[in-house]
Amino acid sequence: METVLERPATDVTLSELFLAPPDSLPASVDKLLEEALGGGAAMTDFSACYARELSSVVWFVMSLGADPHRAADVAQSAFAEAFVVWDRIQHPTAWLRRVAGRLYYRHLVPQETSVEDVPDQQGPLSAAGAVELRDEARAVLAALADLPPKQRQVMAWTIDGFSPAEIARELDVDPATIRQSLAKARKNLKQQLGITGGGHGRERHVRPDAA
Amino acid sequence: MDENDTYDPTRRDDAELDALLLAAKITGLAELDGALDIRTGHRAILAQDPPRRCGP
Repeated sequence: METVLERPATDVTLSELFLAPPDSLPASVDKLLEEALGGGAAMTDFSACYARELSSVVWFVMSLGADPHRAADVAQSAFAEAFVVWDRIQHPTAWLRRVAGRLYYRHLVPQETSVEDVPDQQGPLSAAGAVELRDEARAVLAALADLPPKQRQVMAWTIDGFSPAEIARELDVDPATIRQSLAKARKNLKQQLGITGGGHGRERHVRPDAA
Repeated sequence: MDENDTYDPTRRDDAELDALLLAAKITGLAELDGALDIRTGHRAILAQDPPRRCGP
């Protein structure tokens, strides 16, 4: 069982990540970021990875049930940990999600816990914060939030393109267990989202509190 | 899903769910891209101690 690294302190607070006024950076760092944002740098470069993956990691944590601000905080902490050991990380996208997931669950469960110990019961519903999400995104997040945590966890990885075998390896869980959770999650999501396979004309159940 | 709960992306309900999840993610990421201040977050991390290097 891998131990979660201690969370390093950063001088940025959660609220500063959202809608903060753009401050000027040293020219070299600015150039790095511009290259990263423009896709001109390799993902092995920390700045490139940060620029390209931050939103995705925030969405991943929101898929686990976090509100946008909490998700941004967790994602920032995961990147802060990644920066410290960047040379040792072989697969940043998976590493960041694994650590972000642990940080998020650590927040929910005060004592240190592993992914296997995530309680298989309902967690708190996420609530849209300052980020104005569209109806479909809100409906999906609300449906994910209604899933038992283990199903939600597997769906979050699946949404980000990881196969059951890859999820099993990252979470150190039996692949059969992952496939079983994924099947249950998909079935539950279809019910919650009103997906019947009937194509056009179906009614999608959007929870009133998802708005 | 069929009777055996096997995922089949060619089945209409599985395809619909995949499409909805993808659409939600795309719009969600677009909203987040507009709301997150990448420069501030990036600068905060670079202000940390420099990365530990592997090896001697």
